[in-house]
Amino acid sequence: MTDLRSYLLRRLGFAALMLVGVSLILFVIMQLAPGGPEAVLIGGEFSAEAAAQIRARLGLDRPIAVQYVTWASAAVRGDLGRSFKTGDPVARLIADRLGPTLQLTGAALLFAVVVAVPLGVLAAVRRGTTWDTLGSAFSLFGVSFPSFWLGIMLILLFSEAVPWLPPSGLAEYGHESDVVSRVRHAILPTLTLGLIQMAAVMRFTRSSLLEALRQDYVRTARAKGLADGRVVWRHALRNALIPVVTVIGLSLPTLVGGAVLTETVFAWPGLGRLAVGAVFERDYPVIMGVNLVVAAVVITANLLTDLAYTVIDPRISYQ
Amino acid sequence: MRDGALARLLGHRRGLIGAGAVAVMLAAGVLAPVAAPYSYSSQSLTQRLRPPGRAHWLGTDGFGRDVLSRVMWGSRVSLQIGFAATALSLVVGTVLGGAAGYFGRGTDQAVMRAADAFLSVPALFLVLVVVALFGASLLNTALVIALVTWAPAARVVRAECLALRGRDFVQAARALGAGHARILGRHLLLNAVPVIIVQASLMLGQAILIESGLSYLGLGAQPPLPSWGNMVVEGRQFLASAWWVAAFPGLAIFVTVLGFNLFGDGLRDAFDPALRGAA
Repeated sequence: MTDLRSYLLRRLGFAALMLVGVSLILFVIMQLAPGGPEAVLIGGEFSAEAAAQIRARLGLDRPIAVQYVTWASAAVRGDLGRSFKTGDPVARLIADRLGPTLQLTGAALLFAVVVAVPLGVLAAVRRGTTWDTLGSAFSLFGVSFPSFWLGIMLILLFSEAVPWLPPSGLAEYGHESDVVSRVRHAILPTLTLGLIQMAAVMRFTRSSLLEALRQDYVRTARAKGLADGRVVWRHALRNALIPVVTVIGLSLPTLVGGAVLTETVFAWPGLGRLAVGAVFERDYPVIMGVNLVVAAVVITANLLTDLAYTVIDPRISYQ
Repeated sequence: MRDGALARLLGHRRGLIGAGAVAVMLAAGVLAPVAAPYSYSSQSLTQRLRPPGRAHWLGTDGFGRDVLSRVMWGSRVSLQIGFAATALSLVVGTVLGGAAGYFGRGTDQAVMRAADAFLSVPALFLVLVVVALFGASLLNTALVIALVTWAPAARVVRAECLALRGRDFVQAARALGAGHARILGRHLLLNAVPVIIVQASLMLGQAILIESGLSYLGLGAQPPLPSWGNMVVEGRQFLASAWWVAAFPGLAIFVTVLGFNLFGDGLRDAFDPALRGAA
């Protein structure tokens, strides 16, 4: 137990270091970038004095080190500042958007794993058959789709040609707590984000299971007369899942990054769209906040993935 | 090429299909100035939103511009950025990965931790910030894409160099007094060229996907210059009445990326028949 605790402490230390790194890089990028928020805030022609006045009001006239330390010491207390544009607290803006993003990415991941693992098993067990060929074609197509276009084509098919599903938003206006409406709105974005994720998981399940099926313990299991299904599902797949979990962990940043495009296509009110809006308006506090929270979510999810190894394989322990 | 690799590549059906798809899209881009049936920007209000037909094979868009011509011109932007980003990314990835695999110890630790860090940040969020703030020039976009894609290349090259480091011919070179630069450059990296080429083909697909995503968000080539991403956005508003405006540019992205992926798989199988169908 103490081993696990020191492992966790080490990982949390690394996570904190990552967050400091991400925030420092962003701060420097924003400092180096030509132009600034004043141009967007004023709009049109403006004098140098007006720009200086705005920069002073936003605190951008101070040395960058002072700005960073002020921002960071507030951030560790949970205060991410206020939006340059609307004056709303950034933490509240993010809190409003975090739920939809977690729902979208979580559901997409769940969908991808639930469909991809059985398909990968099927392709490996029936290696060389039509199933296998179909499976690899499918996964190759999956990694080649531009997600925004896939989303738009799904809208074309299922909202325009056959008007079954709504093309945008979280729910009908004013019906945000209506479960049926929420589910109907979630189907197309979840499919879009999930289909692309599925391809990678399927490819790895297949190759990893093929590897496991070659091992001695599988031959032993077969030799002692166990049924085929039991050998595959109980013995081989359980061992094959470790690399699959790794791939899921590694693909989390892509999944969350993919939400930027998926949310834009489906007008989904999540962190991705908040980020897109903020970069166009040079809303520095919002840019910082969103990136920090997104990085924190991904790092946490990665840590959970690594802890999942111990559940799948009791031989693994963290020391 | 390694013994028989070319012959194996020529016998690899999917790899050839991929190479063919890439060749067609490359030719379309290179030949666009002379071969495109119309200008990419000439508008015609009487020819708005015409469906695909004899005069306009892929139809016309909301300004009456020929979709086929615009798709051809669009491939120039995507492929230029794809190649530039991949080249940059491979240089960085090869140098860092090679150094990590060859020197080991502290160098290895430092490079691989940095790669881990880059792999665990949602790339698109960072790319978005940089491109939006610094402007979407070809160089900026390629640089940023390289910044977020060098890590997988570094990993692959490192693994290859680690495997080669202990081999006899490397020992022999060292015994003959070859320096670090010569061993790494002539003996390790030259032998790693096959894996680097395979990686390049797969990365081109990735880079084109990222570029098209950026231009979908409005952070790519600016209108009226066509890019596949901004054409899809423009087509979005006519989805119900004119599906072809959004469908064909997206299809072009898909075919190009699929082509690079198939070709990369073909190359991998050709260079290393033992791995055929393994991954």
